[in-house]
Amino acid sequence: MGKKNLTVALATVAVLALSACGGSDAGSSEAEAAGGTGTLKVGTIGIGSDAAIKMAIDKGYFKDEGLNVETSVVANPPAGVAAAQSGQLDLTYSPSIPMLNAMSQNVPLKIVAAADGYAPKDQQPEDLAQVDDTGLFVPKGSSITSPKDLEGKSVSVPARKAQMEVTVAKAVKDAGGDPAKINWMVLDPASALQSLDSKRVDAAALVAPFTSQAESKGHGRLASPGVEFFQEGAVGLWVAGAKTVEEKKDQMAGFARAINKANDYANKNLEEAQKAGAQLTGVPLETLQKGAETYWPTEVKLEEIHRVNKQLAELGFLAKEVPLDQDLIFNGQ
Amino acid sequence: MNRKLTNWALGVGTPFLLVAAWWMFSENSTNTFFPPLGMILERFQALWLFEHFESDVMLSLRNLVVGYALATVIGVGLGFVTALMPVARWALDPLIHFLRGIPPVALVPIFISLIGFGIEMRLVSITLAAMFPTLIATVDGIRSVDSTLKDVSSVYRLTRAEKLAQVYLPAAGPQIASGMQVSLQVAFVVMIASEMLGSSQGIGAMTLLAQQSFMTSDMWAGILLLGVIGFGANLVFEVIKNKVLAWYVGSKRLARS
Repeated sequence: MGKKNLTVALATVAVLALSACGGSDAGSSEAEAAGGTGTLKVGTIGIGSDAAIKMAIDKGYFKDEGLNVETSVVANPPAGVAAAQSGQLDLTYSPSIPMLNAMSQNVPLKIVAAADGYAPKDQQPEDLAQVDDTGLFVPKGSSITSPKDLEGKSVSVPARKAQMEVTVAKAVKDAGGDPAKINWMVLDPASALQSLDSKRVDAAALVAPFTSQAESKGHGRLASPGVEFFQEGAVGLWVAGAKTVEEKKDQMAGFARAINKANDYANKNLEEAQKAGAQLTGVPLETLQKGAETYWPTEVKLEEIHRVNKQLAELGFLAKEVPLDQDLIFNGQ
Repeated sequence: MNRKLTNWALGVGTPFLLVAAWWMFSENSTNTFFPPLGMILERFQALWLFEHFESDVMLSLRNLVVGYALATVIGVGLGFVTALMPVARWALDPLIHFLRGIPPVALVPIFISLIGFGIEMRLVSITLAAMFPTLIATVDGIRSVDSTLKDVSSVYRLTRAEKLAQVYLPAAGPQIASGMQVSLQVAFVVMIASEMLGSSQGIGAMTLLAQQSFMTSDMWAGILLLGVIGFGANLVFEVIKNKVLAWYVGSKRLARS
């Protein structure tokens, strides 16, 4: 008798637990925010370009829009996108590549504003290393002189199938090599630097501020894969779930206005922005200043996303291009 | 007898019911993160049976088995030394308790800088992390060997080797076995964690990659496989343990009745 009850109880618990997983509706907290005011939860990944959103908070740009923005650091862009899709975050930082990856798996997302990127081409200096916050490095004294030579070699990236692997693959392909023949390794930046020192990897794809450290140790910059891939415009984006955008139109529009204002301010006051970035990341200001200049675009153009989309499909990272239309970019309506 | 049957029915029936419920409630799911179970099983078949079986599943399992075997041998060996030699005990005890307090996953980056990111790193991570539960259980097991047993083995003038192999090891056996079971779980966790860095081969690496590329069906298929392997490993362990420690299981049953 007692056991029978237990079985029924167990089954009920299981059914409840599973149904909770099934159709997770967004939280009820969304409903209350109909006006232009409210709190927005925003995920960042703790990089130097977060300086713009920090300045928007500190200078009261969000407050002017009647918004209270709470940031929290997420482990990586995919985690942030998952949280944004489920409504745990209202907005999250995501480069265009993870965003397109997510959209190719039918995660409905919208771009609210640009978070970072590259200056328009006519404003970029000759030396791409000054623009690109990423770099492909070979150990000091390496005989590798072209990305083409990386065929059959081991190359470290911070994560597989993510931005660095994509951009390096493009650099290798453009140089006439076959990216499929590269032995990709996942290494955190500190381990990657150390592996360059000990020549355990043949090349390492690094992101600022580790690029400056690699340079100061005498490792050679083989390519600036970021700017070569993206050319110009927005790379990092403030992304939200399509449903959240629908429900919080006014706040999203306010967020976009405030962020664009902050981005513009950061571009014009680079030193102040770098100081904010140094404070955020704990990286010494001198190291940040030695690295590439961050640029904060004040708009996102669909063609920039299209370009990435097309290249992802060409390189085989996407089975086919993700269908995109102007609706992808939230325009405040 | 009847009771045993009910227990069995519960053991088999509950997972079955859970899976059935999962299937039913996920069937029409359009949520990207919780795809229908049918789709997950399809991906499970496509990925693991047998496209990636050689290259990834076997690789992970080999690391698990070798690392775990090393951990057991070293753990039991060091345990004997620590328990039976007062000098070693005083010297090593604090160190052991310091080291076992460190989450093994936190050590992976240190191993990478020390020994690179090949198979060696994965094996060392698994071995080191999985060694401590067995080691500590062995020390405890030997220390709690009945003093009458020790006296009797002295009276019979057993040699040191005979004492170790025929008195201490069996007497501490049940406790060592419990330690080894904990070690198995730890080895399993670290096997997955060690695949997050370095070359992206192995079940853990593939599952992580699927998660980061939003291929949720692939991710769930990986999680399912990890669950099945964990369950299977434990089952094999139980069977071997019951065989080896048959005398102990028998004596316990005798004591109960």
